[in-house]
Amino acid sequence: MNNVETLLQKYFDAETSLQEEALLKKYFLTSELPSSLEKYRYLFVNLSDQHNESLLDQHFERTILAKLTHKRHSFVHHLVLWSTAAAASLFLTLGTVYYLERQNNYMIVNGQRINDPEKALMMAAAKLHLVTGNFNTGLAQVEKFGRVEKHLSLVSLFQKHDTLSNDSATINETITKNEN
Amino acid sequence: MDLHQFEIKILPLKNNIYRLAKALLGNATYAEDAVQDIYLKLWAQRDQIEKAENVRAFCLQLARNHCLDQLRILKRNDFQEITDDNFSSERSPYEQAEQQDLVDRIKKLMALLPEQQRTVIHLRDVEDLEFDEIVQITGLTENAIKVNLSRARQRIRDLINGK
Repeated sequence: MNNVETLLQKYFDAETSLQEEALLKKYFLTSELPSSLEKYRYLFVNLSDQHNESLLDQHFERTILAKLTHKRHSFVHHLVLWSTAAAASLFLTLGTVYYLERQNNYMIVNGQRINDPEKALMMAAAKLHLVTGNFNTGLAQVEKFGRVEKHLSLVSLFQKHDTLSNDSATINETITKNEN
Repeated sequence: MDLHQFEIKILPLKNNIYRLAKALLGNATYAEDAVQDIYLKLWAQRDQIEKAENVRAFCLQLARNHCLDQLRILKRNDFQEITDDNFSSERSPYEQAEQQDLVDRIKKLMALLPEQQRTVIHLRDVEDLEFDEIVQITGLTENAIKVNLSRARQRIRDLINGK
């Protein structure tokens, strides 16, 4: 390599191509160097050392793939878990609401709490029937009272008539007395 | 991009990403942790990777951005430690470095370069990337990349020549 010093100057001025730099690296790492250039070998040895450095963790790929797979699986896992949790909480909420609704709709019959709407309806209908039956009986009684009252008013009318008859007799008697 | 494609296309870049992370963070342990975080981010952005013109540039750009965020969080503590452990305040880093093996001194000098110079010399001289790919990764212009690269290389030359 005849032009090595020129090429080295181009290298330090950042004007070399990758191909020229590859030539320089090869020359300084493998060739017998003149004493004036020997010191530059350390630069290229250093660069070569750095180029050959690799991750200390020999299981890096396995570790990172496990992390990525775990991350992906855990995403699906979390999705399933959260969906189940959401469904369960929805079921619980609706169940609670339904239960509370049922708890709020009740009736007390003879001190007994009835929550079943059908049973309550049947009992209510039976009670209603009983009430209407009693009402009708009561009404009949009231009608009887009405009839009694009617009779009583007739009696009072007759009594009034009698009083008037007595009065007219008294008047007639008074008139006769006066004529005499 | 499914897991299998990710495994074939993206996982082989793990050492490129690790080396860049180490160059930027200056610490192998931080770099190893960063690579895991970077891969989780890459997996999250796998749809964008598919659309990327240059997959390697996309991945290294994401890696660099992640490392720069980490550096802001770490406030360059690691680099401060390197400085404290290896160089006293009485002598310049270059003078102190002369007492060590030249390969180590070059490595330490590279770790002490400004971030853009550090990134550019790593991507060009360690990863052997073309300038247009470095443009995609760093967002710098090609001219800015060449300026940073020549400054970084010349600082190393100065160290070698004992300047």
